[in-house]
Amino acid sequence: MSQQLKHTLTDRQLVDLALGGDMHGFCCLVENTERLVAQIVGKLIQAEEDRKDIAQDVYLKVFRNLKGFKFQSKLSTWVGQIAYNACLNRLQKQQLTIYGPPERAAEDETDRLLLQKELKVLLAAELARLPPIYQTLIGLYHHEELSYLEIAAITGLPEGTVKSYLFRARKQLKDSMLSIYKKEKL
Amino acid sequence: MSRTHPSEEVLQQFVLEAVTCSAEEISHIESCPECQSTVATYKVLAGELAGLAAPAFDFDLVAAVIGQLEEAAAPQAKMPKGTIVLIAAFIVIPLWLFRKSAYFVFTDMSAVFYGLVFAAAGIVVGVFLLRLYKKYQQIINLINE
Repeated sequence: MSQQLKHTLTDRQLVDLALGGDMHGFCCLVENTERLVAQIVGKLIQAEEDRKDIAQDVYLKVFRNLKGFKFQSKLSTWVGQIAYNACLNRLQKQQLTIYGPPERAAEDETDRLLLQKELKVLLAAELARLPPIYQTLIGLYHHEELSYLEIAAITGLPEGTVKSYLFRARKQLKDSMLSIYKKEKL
Repeated sequence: MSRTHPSEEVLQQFVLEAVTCSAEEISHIESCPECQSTVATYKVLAGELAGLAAPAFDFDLVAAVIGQLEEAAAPQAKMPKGTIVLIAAFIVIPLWLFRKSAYFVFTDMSAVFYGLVFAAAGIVVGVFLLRLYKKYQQIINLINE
C-alpha cells in the first residue's frame, strides 16, 4: 500500500494495520497525530530537553495499548489523552503545576516587541505568560479546532471547566493586549 | 434592545459560536456600539490565535519512536523457572507450616488492639484528605490570582 493511501485510512484500518505488525501503518498513526501531541507536549512541558523523552514514551504507550483501544473516541483523542497524562505525570514528578505561571516565564520583552508592532509576536509572547493549562486549551481549541467535548475528553476536565478556562484565558489575553496598546498610545 | 449588556462570556460566544446565543443577546450586540467594540477585539484575537505558528518537535518523531520501539522489542532476560519455583516455595512452605499460629494472630487480638489499628487508619486517611484539600486550595488560589 502506498504511503499516500495510508494517510486516508480510517482509524480502524490504521489500528488493524499496526496490530498486524505493519510498521508503516504505525508510522502513519504517528504522523497523523504528531501535530496534536506536539501541541500538548509543547505547551505543558517547558523544558525542551524533556519533550523528546515524553513524545517517545507517549507512542510507546500507544503501541503497547493499541490492542485495548475500543474505538469509543477518535484515535487522535485517545493519543491526546495519553500525551496529556504523560505530561501531567512528568510535571508531578518534578513537583510543577499546570495552573500557575509558566516555569520559564517569558521575559518582559514587551517594550522591545512593541517596536516590531506585530500583533502576532506580541500575542505569542503574552500567550507564553499564561499558565500551561490555559496555553494548552487555547492551542487545542484555536489551532487544532477541537470541540469543547473533545478537549474535555483529552484533558479529563469537565466540559464546563474547559469553557470557563478558555473564557478566562481569552479575556486575560484581550486585557493584556489592550493594556499594551494603550501604554503605547501614551 | 435590552438595556443590560451581555456578559463578556456571551460576547466571546458570539464571536466563536453565534448560534448558541439567544435572539435577544444577538439583537443587543448588533445594535450596541460598546459591545460591538469588544466583539471586534475578540474577533481580531481569535483570528490571530488561529494564525499563530503551531508548535512542532525539533526532531524526527517517527525515527525517534521507531528507534524506541525496536529497543523495547529486543528480547529481555526472563527469570528462570527454577527461581520462580524457589521463591514460591519460600513463601508457601512457611505459611503452610505455621498456618495454625497465623490463625490465632487474628482471632486472639484484644479490642484495644483493634481500636489502635482503626485509630491509626483514621489518622492516615485524615492526613491524606487534609493534604488533598490543601492541594485543591493551592490550585484554586493559583487560578484566581
